[in-house]
Amino acid sequence: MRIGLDGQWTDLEVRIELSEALRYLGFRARRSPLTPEVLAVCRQMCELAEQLVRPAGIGFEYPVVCSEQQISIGEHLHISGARTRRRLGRISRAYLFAVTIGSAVEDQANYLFEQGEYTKGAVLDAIGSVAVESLAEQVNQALRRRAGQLGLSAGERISPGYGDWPLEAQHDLFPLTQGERIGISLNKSGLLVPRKSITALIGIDADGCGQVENKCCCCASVNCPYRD
Amino acid sequence: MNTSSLAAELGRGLILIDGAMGTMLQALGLSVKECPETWNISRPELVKSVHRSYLEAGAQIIETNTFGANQYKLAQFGLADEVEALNWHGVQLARQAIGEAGRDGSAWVAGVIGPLGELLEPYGSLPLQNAYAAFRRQAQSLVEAGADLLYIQTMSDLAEARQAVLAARGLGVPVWCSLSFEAAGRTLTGATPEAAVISLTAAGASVVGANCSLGPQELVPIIERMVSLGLAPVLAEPNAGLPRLVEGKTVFPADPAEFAAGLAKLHASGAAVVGGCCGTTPDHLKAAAHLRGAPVALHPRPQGVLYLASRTEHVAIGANQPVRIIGERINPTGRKKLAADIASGAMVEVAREARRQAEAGAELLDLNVGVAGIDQVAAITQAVPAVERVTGLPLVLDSDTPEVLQAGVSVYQGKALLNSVTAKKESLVQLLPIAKAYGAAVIGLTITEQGIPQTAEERLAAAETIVRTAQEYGLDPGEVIIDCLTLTVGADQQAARETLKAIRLIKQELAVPCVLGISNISHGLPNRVPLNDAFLAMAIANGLDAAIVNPLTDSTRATFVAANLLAGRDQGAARYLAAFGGPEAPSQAPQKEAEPADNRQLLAKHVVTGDREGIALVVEKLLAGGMDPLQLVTEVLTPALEVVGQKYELGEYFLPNLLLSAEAAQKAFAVIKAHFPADERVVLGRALIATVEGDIHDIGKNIVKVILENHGFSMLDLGKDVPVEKIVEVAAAEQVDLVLLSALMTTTLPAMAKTVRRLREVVPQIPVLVGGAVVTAEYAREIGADGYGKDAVAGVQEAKRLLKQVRGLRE
Repeated sequence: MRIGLDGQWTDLEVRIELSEALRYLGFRARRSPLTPEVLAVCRQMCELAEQLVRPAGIGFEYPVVCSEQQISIGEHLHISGARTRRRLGRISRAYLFAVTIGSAVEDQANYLFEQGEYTKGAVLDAIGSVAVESLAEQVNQALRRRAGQLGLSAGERISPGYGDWPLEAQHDLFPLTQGERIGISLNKSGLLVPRKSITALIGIDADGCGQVENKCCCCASVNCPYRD
Repeated sequence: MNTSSLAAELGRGLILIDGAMGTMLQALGLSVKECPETWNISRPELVKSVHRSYLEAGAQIIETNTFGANQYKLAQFGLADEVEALNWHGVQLARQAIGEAGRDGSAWVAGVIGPLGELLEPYGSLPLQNAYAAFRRQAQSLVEAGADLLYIQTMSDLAEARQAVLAARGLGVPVWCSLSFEAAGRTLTGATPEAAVISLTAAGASVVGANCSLGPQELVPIIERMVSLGLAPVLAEPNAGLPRLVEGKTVFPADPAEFAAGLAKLHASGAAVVGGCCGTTPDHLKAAAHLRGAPVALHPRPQGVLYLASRTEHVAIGANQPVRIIGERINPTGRKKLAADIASGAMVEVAREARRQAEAGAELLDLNVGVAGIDQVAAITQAVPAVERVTGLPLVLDSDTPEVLQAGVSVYQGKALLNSVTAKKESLVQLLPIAKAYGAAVIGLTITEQGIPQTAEERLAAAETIVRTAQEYGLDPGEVIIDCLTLTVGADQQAARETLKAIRLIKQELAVPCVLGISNISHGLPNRVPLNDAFLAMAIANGLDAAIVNPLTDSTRATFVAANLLAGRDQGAARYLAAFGGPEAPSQAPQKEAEPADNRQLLAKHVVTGDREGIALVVEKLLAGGMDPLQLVTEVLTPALEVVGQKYELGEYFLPNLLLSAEAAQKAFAVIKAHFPADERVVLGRALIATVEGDIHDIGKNIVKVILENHGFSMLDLGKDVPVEKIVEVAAAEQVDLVLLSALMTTTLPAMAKTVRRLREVVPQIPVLVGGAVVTAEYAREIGADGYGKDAVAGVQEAKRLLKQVRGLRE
């Protein structure tokens, strides 16, 4: 049985959690006082971001072939990392998708920076990250809901760069999402343009899918300011 | 159950409470990944055996194995629905152990409640009411299972502890509460021992104390400070010394004899209940068994003193205390900008006023959101946290609407003063229950059903009514401060005399502290400040304990200092000398508002607080005054930026604060540059910065660039996704002093390595500094970079170090 959510998503809505943006900016509750000046900038940039975002998403479901060494999706996408395979479990299908908020937020953040409005620029950039994460989360949740209705089970999304799934996998994953149809492209280093875009894989199976530990724990960016 | 015998026991002498449960269970095989409370059901005999051994060692109170049995902690193990069962079994095991030991009636069960493991708003995401509900659920389970008292412990956030106490009271058993302190004498979230005792006893705790974190020695000063307030018996449960890491394991060093000697010291410091926390065993407790029943020194609550506390700090008002300054400026009456700020919900001006008054020397802040036509309930719930975020000063919540006061006190995370009740029945009936429910004190205005009484005697009668009724509602006289009312002297020239007389009378007859709003005295008259100050001095002479004033007025602050000394309320003239004794005494020239002593300090302050407004003007003034631009940079701007950097590294500031300061500093530099376009002396060195080939992330790089610019580097920014050869070419052509490279993704690290390699080949004399989310110090070494910065602030230090090295080599 297929999930049946192939193609473009039309009803995605950006949701901006201010506390999540603050976390991205390195806010540590115990020690940093959140001053009203900062809070005011955050609120202002949230409003600006809401004007600028152009949410879009697209995704397709593919059959999966699991062997002892790797999980294969289509001809080119092979996942061989032990941790990622363990996390996915023995899935039978996968939903591959791409979401973006467009480039206006990052362009505006850069512009603010050039104007000497560093605080606003950095805050808007973090809000952009939160916004695109919220889109990916909506796709994930919608998929899980649908899977539940069909008596299937859908796992937590993972993206290249998580755990031992190398970022290079983007080159093989991206074409399968058909992300270019919603204005995303891939540069030669495997980075998505616009930057505020996400591609991801969600495992689908008749039984329970692997549960995810803290996303940050297994990330290679040990020095990341957003790390939990 | 046998709560009254416990109270009697507390009166008889020192009580011995048991030692560690968690570390004991671990010794019996509990894994650190396991939920300890499940052993109440799966390994009941082992849990009971721990209770038994503590009873045998002499414990009079044993603590249930329910520390983490709240819905949030249990949810981490998928056991959120087991709150009732695990608490019930926890109490049963303790109760059975007492029965089996034949100690019914001489030993009691303390139902233990620990932290929820989530941080409360506004710092964390857990709403106050959710925390309250979770604590309530656990407390009810424990009491229904038969706990003799509830013992909330190991709290590191006073706000959370306060919610726990509020939730635990009213269930028919005493509520005890102890916090865990760090060696510097504050909890993790910054509360002092005094603030803890004041806030928690007001909320309803009957015993307060300190447990965990520290050994007995380190707890002594904390316990002394708690005892000295005289508000409640004090409990101490230290760890078995300060934990050390030995071969990867936590080891508690104090042996039983050493630990018992420590408990004896704590007893000597005034602790009424002692026991042990992490690392202690029945042997530790047994060694201290001789302390049981030892007489405990009594510290009665001082009469005529009112204590208030914020989430972190406290203040005492009344007998033998200096007369306290209550800042009046957060009041929108007649102030358009502030009113608009409150109406919009932004609270930026509110916070600014709070900070300015705190810096000027206010000791409490009055908070009034009385803008006509707005939802004041909503406004005060926004204003209270806004002020709490910028200052630890206790708050005086000011409104004539009980609903507004209730809304304010319900979100306040300390013991507030409510401004105000009157002697009118309706007011007392409405407000006193609110004060009692949330653990707040009240200002009582001497207004009766007939209005403001003319004579001092009538005002005394009104004050008596307030104090007596407050007692009927369960509020100690120490929770009331009386306002004898300042009437306009322009309208009635006898008015001031009657007010002053009322202060004397009320202090004499009722022994409660008095407060006045000062400025109304001069209403309608010219040259108001001298009149206000004179009235303030006279009121202090008549026994006033606190005054609501504008603390930004220099002469008013000076009046406080001088009158405190003359009234015998300044021990050793310490406050007077601190204010006027030093070489930096404020000038006698009349200033309208408090300002840092000179423009240099003001400039530094603008940078540190990230205040862009007005900074250009201060720089202009300094330059016009003949200050050398280089001196301005090295003596004022750079040190201020270093303070900002330190705050960032300590976690006091996060990125937006750092950038606000950077923006302010850049404004200052821009002014200098406009005046001295050719002055190159302020440039430390020239650096090239780029995000490596293939990488399109540049916010991080841009931040580093700005921070380095502020520290005197002239930056050449090549942008993002910069080809290796371009970086090498420009570095060689421009002969920069330093190259900085950024990479954010694992896929672009090879490009960084390649760039460093090529730079080495072509321009080996130029040092390279690298950074970015995935770059580590190890990787930096591996690819041959000269330096590594984990963030912008660390990057500056590293850049300065490399620059020095290069210069050293060249010279």
